Amino acid sequence: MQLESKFLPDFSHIYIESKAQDFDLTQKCIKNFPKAKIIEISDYKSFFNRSRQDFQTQKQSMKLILATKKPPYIYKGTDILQDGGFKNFYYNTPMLNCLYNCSYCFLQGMYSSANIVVFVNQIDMQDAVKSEIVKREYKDQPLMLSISYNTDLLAFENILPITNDWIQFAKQNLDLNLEIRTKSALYHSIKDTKPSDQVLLAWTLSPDRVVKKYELNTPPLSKRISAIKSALHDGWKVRLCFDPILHYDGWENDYLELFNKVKSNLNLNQVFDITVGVFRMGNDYFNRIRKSKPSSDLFYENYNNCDGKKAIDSEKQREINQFVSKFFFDHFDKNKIYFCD
Amino acid sequence: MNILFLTALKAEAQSIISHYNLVKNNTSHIYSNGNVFLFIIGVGNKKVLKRLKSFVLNYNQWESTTIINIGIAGGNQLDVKLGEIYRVSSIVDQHSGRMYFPDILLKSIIDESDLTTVLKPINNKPVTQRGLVDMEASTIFQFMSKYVPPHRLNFLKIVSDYMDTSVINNLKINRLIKIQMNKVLLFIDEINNLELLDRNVLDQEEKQIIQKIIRNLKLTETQQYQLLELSENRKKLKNNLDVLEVFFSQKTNNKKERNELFNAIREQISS
Repeated sequence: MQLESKFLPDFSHIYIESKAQDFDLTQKCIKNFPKAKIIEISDYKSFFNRSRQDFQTQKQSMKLILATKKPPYIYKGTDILQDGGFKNFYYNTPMLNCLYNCSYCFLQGMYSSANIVVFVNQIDMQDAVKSEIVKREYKDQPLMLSISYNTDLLAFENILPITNDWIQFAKQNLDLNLEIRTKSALYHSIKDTKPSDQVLLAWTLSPDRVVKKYELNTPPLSKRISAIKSALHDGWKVRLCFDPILHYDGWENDYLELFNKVKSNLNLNQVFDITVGVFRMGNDYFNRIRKSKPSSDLFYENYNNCDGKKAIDSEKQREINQFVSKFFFDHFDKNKIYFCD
Repeated sequence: MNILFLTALKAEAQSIISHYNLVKNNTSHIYSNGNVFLFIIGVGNKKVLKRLKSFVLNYNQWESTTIINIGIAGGNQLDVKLGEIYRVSSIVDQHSGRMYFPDILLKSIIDESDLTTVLKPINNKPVTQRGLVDMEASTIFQFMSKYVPPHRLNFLKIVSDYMDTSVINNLKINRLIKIQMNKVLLFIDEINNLELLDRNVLDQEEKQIIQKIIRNLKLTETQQYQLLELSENRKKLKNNLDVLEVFFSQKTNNKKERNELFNAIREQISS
C-alpha cells in the first residue's frame, strides 16, 4: 500500500502577477486548477528569486507562477546547447523550469527556485521572434528557435497548449524553424495538429536504468519510443537526442540495449538527425548545485574543468562518441549525427 | 528537528511554555526544553529586529530548525473568523510594500490567509484592509530568512479582533492561544518532516574527523575546502571515509610537510 504523501500536490498555489491577470493563459490556468489558492503578486521575481530556497525540497510540491516576460524575449544559442548545424540558432523561454526532475539538469543550478514560471504574454515573445527573423545573420537559412530550452514544453501541453500555439505561429512565419526538445510521451496532445517541416520534435532518450535513476518523473523509455513512432508515422520531423550519455560501470550494455530498441522500433530512415552529448555543465551551475548537497551521485564524480565548464574527461567522451559511431554509422547517415564538443 | 517558536508577547507564549515545560535561560532569554525553543521578540519592527539580532548571537542550530511565529492578529471579517487559527501564505509589509512568501509545501488542517504587517495597530475596522493584520511578521521573515529557508518559516495567526484592538487584553490572548493549542500541536506533527531539513553528505562524526585533520595538519583554506569536497565525493561514491584513518594522528611542522601530507591524502581519497 502506498502511503499518502505529506506534501501538497503540485500547483496547490498559483502566484499571479497583477499584470498577468487578464491574459488567456492565466484564465485557462485558473480554470485548470480550481482548488488552487491564488496569490496576487506585483513581480514574479519577488517570489521566484527569494534567497535560501531549496530547489530539491520545492520539487516535492511545485507551485505555478504566472507572469509577464520583459525583454529580452529571445536569446542567441549558447555553446552548451547543441545547434544541430543550424547557423541562426536562438532560444527563448516561454516557461522557466520543468515538471520533470532530471539529476543532471542545469536548471537546478540556473534558478534558485524549482517553481514553474509561465510567461503569459507569449504574443510579445512572438513579436520579438518576427523582428529577429528579419535581422538574422544568415539570410539563406531560417531562424532556428529552441522553445523548450529551459523547460519541457510538451510535457506541459495538457495544462497549457503553448507548444501548439508556437507551432501555429511557425506555420505563419516561413523563415522560422522550431526545435521542441522533450522527454514527454504527450505527443497525442499535438496529434491533431498538421505536421510541419518547420518543426523538429527532439526526443531525449536514455536507457531504462538511467531513466529510473536520473530522470525522475519522466515517462519510461518505451512510452517515449511509442510517442516518437506515432510522430514519425504522422510525418513530423524527429530528432533523437542521446544527451547526456552517462559514463558509469556497465554503460555500454545499457546504451547498446537502448540503441537496439531504437533501431528495432523506429524506422531510422525517417529520423531527421541524431545529436549526441555527454554530461557537461557550466561551473557556476555545477558549483551551485553541489553546494546544495544533492542526493545524486553525479555531482560527486571527478570531472575535467575546462573553459568554465565541468565535463567528463576527453578519453571517456571519445569512448562514448566511438561507441555511438560504431553503432549508428552502419544504420544512419553519419553526416546527420552531431556530436557535442 | 528543532522547533523555534517566536512570539511577540508573553501572553502569546504562555500556553506553549506550559505545554512543553520550557525553562528560561536568564542570560539569553531563550526558553527551551530538549528540541523546543521559544523566544519573545516584542511588538513593533524596531524592537523585533533588535531582539532577533540578540537571539541569533545565542543560537546556532539552524540546519535543523523550523521557525513558527505564533500570535494574535487582527482580521477582516469578510476573510477570517474570530478565534480561528490561520497559516499565513503571503506577507505584505505595508510600510515598504515588499512581499514575503513562506513556502507552503506540506498539507495542513489549518486554513491559509494572507497577512499585512503594519507599523501601528489598526482600530478603525477598514473594509479595504483584507486578510490578517499583524505588527511583526514581515520583520521576522526578512531577518530570519538569512538563517532558515522559506519552507521552514511558518506563521500561525489567531484572529483576536476585527481590527479593533480595544477589545484585546492579556487574558483574552492567553485564552485564544490555549483554545488553538491542539491545532498548533497537529501542525507541528504535520511539519515535522526530515525531508525539510538541510541535506548533508557527511555526518557529525565525519565532520569532526575532518576538522581534526585540518587542525593537526594546519591546512590552508583552499586545502580545507578541497579536503571537504573530496571527502564528500568519497562518502557519496564509496560510502565511507576509512582511507582517512591513517591521517588522524599525523601532525606537520612546516609548509613542505603539510603540502606533502595533503597531497598524500588527496591521492588516497581520490583513488
